Amino acid sequence: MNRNLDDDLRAALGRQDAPDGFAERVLAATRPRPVVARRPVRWAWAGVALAASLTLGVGFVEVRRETQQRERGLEAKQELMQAMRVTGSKLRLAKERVRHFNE
Amino acid sequence: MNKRVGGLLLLLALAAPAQEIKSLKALDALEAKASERVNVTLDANLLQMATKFLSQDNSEEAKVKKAVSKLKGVYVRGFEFEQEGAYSKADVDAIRKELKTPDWSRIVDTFSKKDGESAEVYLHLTKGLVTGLAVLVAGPKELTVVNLVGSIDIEELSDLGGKFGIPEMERKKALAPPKAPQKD
Repeated sequence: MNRNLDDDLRAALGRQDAPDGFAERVLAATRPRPVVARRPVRWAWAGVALAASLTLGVGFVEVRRETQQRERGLEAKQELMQAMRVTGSKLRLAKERVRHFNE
Repeated sequence: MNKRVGGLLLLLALAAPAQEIKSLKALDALEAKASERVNVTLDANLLQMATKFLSQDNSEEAKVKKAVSKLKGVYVRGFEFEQEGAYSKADVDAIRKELKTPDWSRIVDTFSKKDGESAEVYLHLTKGLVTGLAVLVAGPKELTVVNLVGSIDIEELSDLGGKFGIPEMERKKALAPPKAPQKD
């Protein structure tokens, strides 16, 4: 019984030759793969660039919109001031005519 | 198609406040004949935008800001012509006709025979409050129509002309005593 167990252990733990090409496969697996490692970094940069472009684009549109609104507002202000000048002067003209007549 | 456009224009005209002179836009045709012109169309949105840029530190702008705070529209058409007869009586009569409705009251009506110029001031009243103003000044070489829509303090407005100095459209010559002051 004991002898059989010894034999089984000896057979199981005995030195065996590695299968053909085992060493090459191990070396190949441990070889660094630069291309596979860099790919996610490249995509990350592309994402950052896209986000930056979008932010810049939205910012540019917003600044342009605000500039246009400001220009329109200033233009409207000038028109309003001009309108009030004309209104004031014509009202004064009418007022002075009435005053002249009353005098 | 034309009927649709016409219908749309009619709807827009009906949507405009009663204090707004609809025939004012017809005067734009005179622009080509005018040597000097003022054309201002500011609705409530543009007025709001404009008042944002009026400075409280500048006394003139502060006065304008106060005067227009309750306005909903400012419409001005002013023309100066090189020659007489550039506009027709019908142009002016179309505006006068609009101002003959019961809501409008003519508070000033003057005519200077020397200058051949008439100046009329109308107020639009709603429940005793001034809710619109129209000024019509018609001379041989000048036509000015002012239409303000909204709550108005007329004294505040006439004060503006005095504070702003002599404007471009103002007559350069001094006012002569009118020999025939009242028309009609």
